[in-house]
Amino acid sequence: MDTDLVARAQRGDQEAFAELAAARADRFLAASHRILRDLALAEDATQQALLSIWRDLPQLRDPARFDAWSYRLLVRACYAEAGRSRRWTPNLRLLPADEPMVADGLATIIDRDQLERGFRRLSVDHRTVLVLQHFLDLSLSEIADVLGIPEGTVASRIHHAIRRLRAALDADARPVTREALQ
Amino acid sequence: MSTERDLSGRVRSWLREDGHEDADRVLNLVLDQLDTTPQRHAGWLARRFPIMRSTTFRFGIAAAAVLILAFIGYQFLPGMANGGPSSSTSPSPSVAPTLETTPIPFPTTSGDLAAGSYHMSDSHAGIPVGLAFTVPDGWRADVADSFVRKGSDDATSLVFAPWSITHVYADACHWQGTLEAVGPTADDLATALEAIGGVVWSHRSEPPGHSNIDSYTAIGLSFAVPSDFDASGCDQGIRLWADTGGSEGGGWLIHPGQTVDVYVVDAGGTPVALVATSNSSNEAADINELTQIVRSVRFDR
Repeated sequence: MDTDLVARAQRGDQEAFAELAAARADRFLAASHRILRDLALAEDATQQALLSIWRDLPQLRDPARFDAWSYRLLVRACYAEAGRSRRWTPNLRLLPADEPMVADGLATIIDRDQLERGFRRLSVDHRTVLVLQHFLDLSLSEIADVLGIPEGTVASRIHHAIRRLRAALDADARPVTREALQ
Repeated sequence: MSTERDLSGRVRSWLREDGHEDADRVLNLVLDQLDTTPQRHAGWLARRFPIMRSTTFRFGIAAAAVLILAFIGYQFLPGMANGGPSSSTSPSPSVAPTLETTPIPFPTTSGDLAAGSYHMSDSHAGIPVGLAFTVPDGWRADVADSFVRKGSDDATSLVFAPWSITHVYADACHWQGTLEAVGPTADDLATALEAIGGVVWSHRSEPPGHSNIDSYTAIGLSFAVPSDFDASGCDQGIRLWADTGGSEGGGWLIHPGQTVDVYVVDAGGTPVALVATSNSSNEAADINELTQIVRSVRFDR
């Protein structure tokens, strides 16, 4: 990471900030989309996070900690958006009509669909730790730093998230899915 | 059923599928707002301190502090004679806060809790029966683990959590391979908890080992680990029981210096454990708040 770029942005250099933001915006949007499961909310969270980064950047003492700090602001923005959404809005994506519906392809789609429904049933806390670990590839200590909680709590939270996801998947297993595969 | 590792792998692959997110529009919106969004400099907070030199302001803060302390004292001092299960005195009828208002559903996101009564549903907490409890100011909801806590560090936080304990570790230190299922009744659970070995010291509160929570009989047990115990030789921490359902590796950790009080309640035929964790370094007033939270529990009927 270019700490010089961060230092320039801290001093109000908009070009430096634009460079920092451009390098991270897609990843921020992807991470918040995975946490919130709603693209519109994710765009709002990303926008809020980037503006918060710009506004509060002069207060960041160590430019080398920029990434962890910026993820913290992103997670905070996701929590705020999740609190604002009273109910889930469906995110439907049309599949290409010419995609061959072979058995493996169908199984993959069903697997994705089950994970999607199970993931949506998790709390924002649980979705967040799983996204930080499996999508952003952060270590336990990095996640602890981002969330401001002890490492032990992170490990416990990840364990509980997977356990609850498995419970949700088991509860969601329906006979119609098995029949469709036959 | 897939293992935890299999499922983690599936989640990882699924999360990494290309979601086609393009943040150009968002980025342009942000960059357009930079001119009208002033940066906050490090001195931003400091510039507000001189306001506190105002005598009126200081008197206001002092008066508010006195009122808050008086309120807390009024709410909790009468209950200070009531100990948890670690108390050596005989349990006496509680003076739990009454639930005068309809409890608020336990939040779905973690954060500070306003003083008041909260309802935790059975589906939310994984417990066999829903329950309500009352917390004073200064406590937080930890939604991921269905905890109510004061403090942020695992070893020194005060924690209240209802739990459905189905499996205990026979040896709390070398717990791998020692998981045992407990029987279906509250007595079975209390007996299984009491039999946990290893480095923990445990006992039922005496005499007679029972107290009342809501209108139910509760069996009180305490676990403690000496604060100078070196847990590095244990199997990844000291564990008392497993997650509900009995998957080894998870469950309740106890740290050196901690006391874990467990109230086993037979709530209409289904055993529920009310867990209260404190540390030898905690303030007595905070521990008393924790005890009052436990004693305020009201089960759904």
